[in-house]
Amino acid sequence: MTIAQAIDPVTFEVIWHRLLDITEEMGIKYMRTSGSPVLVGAYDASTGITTSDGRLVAMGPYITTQAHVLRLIIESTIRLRRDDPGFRDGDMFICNDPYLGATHQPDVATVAPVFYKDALRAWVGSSGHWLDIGGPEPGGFTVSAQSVFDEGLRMPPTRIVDGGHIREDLVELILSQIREPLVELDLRGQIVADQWGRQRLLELYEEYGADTVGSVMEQAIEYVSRGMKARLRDLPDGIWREVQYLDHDGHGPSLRPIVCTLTKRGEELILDFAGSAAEVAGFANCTFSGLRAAALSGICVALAYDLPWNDGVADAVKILAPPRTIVTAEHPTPVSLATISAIIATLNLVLSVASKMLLSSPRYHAEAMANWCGSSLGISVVGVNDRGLLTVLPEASHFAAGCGARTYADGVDTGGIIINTTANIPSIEQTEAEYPVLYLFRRQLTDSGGPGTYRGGRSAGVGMIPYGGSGHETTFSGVGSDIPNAAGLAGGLPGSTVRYLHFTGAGDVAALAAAGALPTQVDDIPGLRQVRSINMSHARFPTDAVEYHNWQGGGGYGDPILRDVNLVAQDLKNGAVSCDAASSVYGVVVNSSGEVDMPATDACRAHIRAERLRRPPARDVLETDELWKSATEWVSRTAASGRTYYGDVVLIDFDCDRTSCLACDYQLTGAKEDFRLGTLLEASPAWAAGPVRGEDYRAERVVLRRYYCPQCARQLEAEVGIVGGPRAAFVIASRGPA
Amino acid sequence: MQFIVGVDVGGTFTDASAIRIEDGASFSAKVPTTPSDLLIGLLDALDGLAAEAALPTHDLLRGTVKFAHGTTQTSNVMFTWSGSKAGLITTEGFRDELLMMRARGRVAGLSLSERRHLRRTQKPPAIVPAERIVEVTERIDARGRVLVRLDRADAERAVDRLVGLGVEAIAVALLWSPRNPEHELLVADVIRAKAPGIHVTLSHEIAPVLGEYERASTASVNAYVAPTVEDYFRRVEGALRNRGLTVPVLVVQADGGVAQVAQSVPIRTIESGPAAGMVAVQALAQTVGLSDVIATDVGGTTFKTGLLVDGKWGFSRETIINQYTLLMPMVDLVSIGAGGGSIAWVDDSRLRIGPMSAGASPGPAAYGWGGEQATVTDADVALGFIDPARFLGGKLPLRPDLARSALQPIADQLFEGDVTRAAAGIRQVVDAQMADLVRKATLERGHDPRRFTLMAYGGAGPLHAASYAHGLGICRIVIPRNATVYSAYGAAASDLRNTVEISVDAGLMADTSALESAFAEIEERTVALLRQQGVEDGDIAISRSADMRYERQLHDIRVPLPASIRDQNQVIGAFENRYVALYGAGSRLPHARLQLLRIGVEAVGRTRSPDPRPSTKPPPPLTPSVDTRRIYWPEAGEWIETPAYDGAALSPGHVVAGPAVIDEPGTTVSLPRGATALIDPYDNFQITLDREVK
Repeated sequence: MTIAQAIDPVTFEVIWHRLLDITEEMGIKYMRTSGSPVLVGAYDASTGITTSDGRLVAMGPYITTQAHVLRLIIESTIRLRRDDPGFRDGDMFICNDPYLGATHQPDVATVAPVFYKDALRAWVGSSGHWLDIGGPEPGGFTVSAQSVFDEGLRMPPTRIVDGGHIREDLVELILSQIREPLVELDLRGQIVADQWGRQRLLELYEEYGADTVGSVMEQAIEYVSRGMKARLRDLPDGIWREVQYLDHDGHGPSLRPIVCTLTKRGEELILDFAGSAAEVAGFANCTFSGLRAAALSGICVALAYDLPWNDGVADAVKILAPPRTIVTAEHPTPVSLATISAIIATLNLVLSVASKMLLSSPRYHAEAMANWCGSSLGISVVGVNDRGLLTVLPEASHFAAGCGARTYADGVDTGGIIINTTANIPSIEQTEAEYPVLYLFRRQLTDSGGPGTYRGGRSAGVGMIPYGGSGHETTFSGVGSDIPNAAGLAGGLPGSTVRYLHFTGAGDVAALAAAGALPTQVDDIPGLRQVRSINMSHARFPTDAVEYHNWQGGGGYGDPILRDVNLVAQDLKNGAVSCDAASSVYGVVVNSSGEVDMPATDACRAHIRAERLRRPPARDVLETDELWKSATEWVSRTAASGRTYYGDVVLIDFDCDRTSCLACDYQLTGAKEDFRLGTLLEASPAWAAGPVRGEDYRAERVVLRRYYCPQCARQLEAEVGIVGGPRAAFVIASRGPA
Repeated sequence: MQFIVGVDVGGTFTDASAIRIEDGASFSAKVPTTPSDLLIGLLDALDGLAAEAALPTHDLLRGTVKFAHGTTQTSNVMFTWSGSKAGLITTEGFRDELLMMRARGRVAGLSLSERRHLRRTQKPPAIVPAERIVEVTERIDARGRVLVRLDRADAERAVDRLVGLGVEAIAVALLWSPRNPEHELLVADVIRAKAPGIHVTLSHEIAPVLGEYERASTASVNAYVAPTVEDYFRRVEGALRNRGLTVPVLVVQADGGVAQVAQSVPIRTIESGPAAGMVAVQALAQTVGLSDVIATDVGGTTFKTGLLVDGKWGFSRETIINQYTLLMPMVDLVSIGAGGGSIAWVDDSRLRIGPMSAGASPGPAAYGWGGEQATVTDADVALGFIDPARFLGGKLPLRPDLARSALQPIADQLFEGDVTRAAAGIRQVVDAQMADLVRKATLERGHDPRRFTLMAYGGAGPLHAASYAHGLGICRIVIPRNATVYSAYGAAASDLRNTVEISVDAGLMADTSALESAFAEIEERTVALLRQQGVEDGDIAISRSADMRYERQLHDIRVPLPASIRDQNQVIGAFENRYVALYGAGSRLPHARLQLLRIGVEAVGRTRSPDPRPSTKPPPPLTPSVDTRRIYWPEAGEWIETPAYDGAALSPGHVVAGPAVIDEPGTTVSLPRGATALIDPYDNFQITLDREVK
């Protein structure tokens, strides 16, 4: 480890800028060499530079979880390989072992120690999603897996490059496990990226000296760590708890909670995952490496939005979790779905606890966001093209997911997915040029954005049919069909769920075209409509069948009946909101020519308020669990004065020990109580928030809880949970600095 | 007397440049741009230019044998969202593609730090809102076969609907139109028949390549800007004809060429100013015998760089404007937000520069226009590099006191109150960022910056070039005498140029005779367009390229191909050489098959440009420097009483050794110790740097 020497601001800035450039260049080299549509089309990769002991200094663009794994992988590499075979200049190690730092098997990292003047100075690394990793399923998500041995190739840190020489025997060993020859480009792309990073780093050492560069690396981490601590000091102390659910364990539908309790005191930030479900038998779990990558990525987005992203963020966060939960699975529990099940759910969970903390400080209101689309999917359409080649199309349109509403604006429609800073969906023409399928439509989905004063971003749906070639099969995996993961904020409602439909006997392309038109929206698709599980492997996709799926929209912000009627009218015109939802959810009535009927709207909204006031007090229904009681004990002992606000929803006045509705000043609870206890509670199915909220699946236990002010009927909070499951809560111990 | 005239209407200034053919003498003028009507500034600049040449404007224009015009009009329409009411006709099922923007529209063109503040990112306003996107029932497949035929009545219904909404321009972007344009052509026919006044953009014509979103975006942006831009050029032609111009106005294009107004595509004028700068670089490189050049243009808000390799610039295929993707061949330039107006600020313990810029308003603090934040220019003023009394030829006296007080807070926070160290720090950080961009751009394109000569122009280029060149290990710099009006000068030097690229079928790779005839066909098209503009065949030069990759890779690279292809191995060899140059030895995949995606042809029709003539006069005795001033040289870390030369007093043959500065009308050439400038026979500053520069 380099002893940090004081570096003047000019030298720091010059070297720091160069380090960021190097990670970005590594990313570009990697992308350009690889041919994988997952990587290049969806940018599912990242790069990084770390200190000699693996602490992340700078990360490249794209998917942040991919960069956050590098530290644990390098630590494992150091622990396991330091003595045998040891490290020397020009070596590179490959690793995708989820118990040793990786998130799941298809995400492979290649890391390289960088030596200068005979001393180990740093590491460079690149990590990315490979198109295939062997094992029973193309693409690597093994729906049926009972243990890690049923999943793809697992590589502990393995020396793939020996003193600058690529070990072609190992390359062959790896590639011989893998059905997709294109993966060779993924592998070589990582090597190219690391070689580039190493070379550029050596030039930097040559120019400025290894000590100076090493000190800049240390200072870059300290700078971020200081920035995080300053931010934490700014925020109020308290405890915020949120819950997300996985609706599939790999073997069948089931609703399993992941619970995150955020405790913030002074400069300390603890994320505690106690209360989460035990690890499951199927592939939906993640290991601690996945949990860490997810939690840090969530904190980066929520709290470090204006800082560089490195391990200075990690230094500010303490992650606690009991062993062998669904987010801390251990060997040999399967985890191949982790990134698009436990990891993305955890990331969203951390984002929502952090957003609620931001919302508890007037100074940071604007930085809070409702959840973005809370799930991701792994979809491959296999087919033999008319040249006789087996092709595996990773259908990735779902990266155009709905973004969460802001506290002052709608979420972005089809704007991308939270884990990716540079989301991108494949081009239809480029896909049709390569694969034997025809797209029938790709449309934004009506009512998919979570309703609210500010609406969540819309998602979309896509219809496709086999075209040319033969032997089509679909493998579909992911979570989020039974329960909406994109929760709203401050009374906003959740976005849509995932839905996968298969239409048998729809007719093949020739027959449909001969009939004059191809179906161009979901309601026009002929044939027998079947709702399919979103975890299916090798399901036949005959040439006369049509498949459709849509994904999750973003959560909304604020009470939907407070939405500006003109915005609702605009949404109706653009097809963002249906007539039904406009009246039932937003309380907006339009006449036959599409203009808002103001008197009818006023009456409709008044009726909704009246109905709300008939709901029972929440205190009678909610139970306070022991875990929450013990976690919040310190809060009541903390001295607090002054007042703070939670969004534009409630006022928390410590001097008067009172939490009240901001709209009507009605006292809900005392200052150090979860204000929900003082509200009226309506429990309803999730589709009260709009269509495609799980009604096609087994959603009996899913409940949408809406909390109303007993005096003015304002919807103050809304959450999705399961009957009898852990629920969201928060208490503020003391407000932050004025 | 005959002249070649170039004008460049930029965001802040309108520049004009003229070369007198008889003796090669050049003239230039710089006036403020008039945003409310750009034509006024253009005419002002021409009056100024005529005055420099001591002629009435009418005589200058009558004597003009070539008139080339570069403009930022198109970008301005986008930046101010002041385009036309445009509509889009697209394939049923896919009307949302333009609005979805492949999801990446939310962050396209943003820096990494901007992308990481997710809450702030959003898609841009819709240039064609949802209600003006109309679907037609039709479908063509990947091979260009019609699956569902477009019914004329359906096209008429779609057009009626848009006409009813009052659109001024229509973009047509149907799936697979580059493979089979018949449906787009049918829609165009319907529009012309029903609403002949409406501007039409067909996606397969403007961007004949794959990618439905990119094509729709390109066509829609063109439809959005076209009415305004075309109206402007019609007015320019009329106004100049009335003032004596007899030749057609040539419009500078992003690919570095010019085209007559009728052949010019509005979006292709985006970034044409910097492209024209590259043309001037190429011309100058040829004159002084250089083939590998890094061009750097340092303006008020941005730093741009591009490469000339073997005398040729590179092309890029797409650009982003207001987060919309535009597909078009353009001169390959990259930029960062670093220039004279970039604001310096303190972030915790860090000294940050930009990306915010004081721009032209309020401008750097030293301008005295109310700017309070320290900029790079303020640092240059505080260090003595810029003579306050001679800035812009004395027209704008600068206020060093204001520069220093703007720097004071930065000095207090990071440099123990020492303003000089703060200013020196700002200069070093910004120079390092410029060097980083050049290094990244050069290495990414497979080249080593150290074997290049650097050219620097734009207002702040000559002031910083020696410093960032040194950071790059470059030891030779050329600064053109007309560095501050270089784009206008480049416009005058531009040739007629037509660049076309098309997507091709994968099978073409194996069939050399089909490939040869595909090339011949687009060559015919490009040449025809030049002939229409009066270019003689003997003046046309053609070059070919192909975009290739290993099969199923998704990124491709551009490979120059020979003029005639007889053997597939010529193509393979060309690809492999380029691939290894870009990604390093060992990156080649000997077993993988190659794929040909697009082929391109660039046809250049030489227009009249006088060859610069070297000075034959013997070097006059060196005028002693009129002045010295105290300058703090960050490289040396000390104040030095530095000779300050008046540029006007230097002529070919003069040699100036650093430390020194040379004051030019719009800029200052800085020469640290270890740098030596020679005024070459063509009146440029040729600077050599010792390995140690202080």
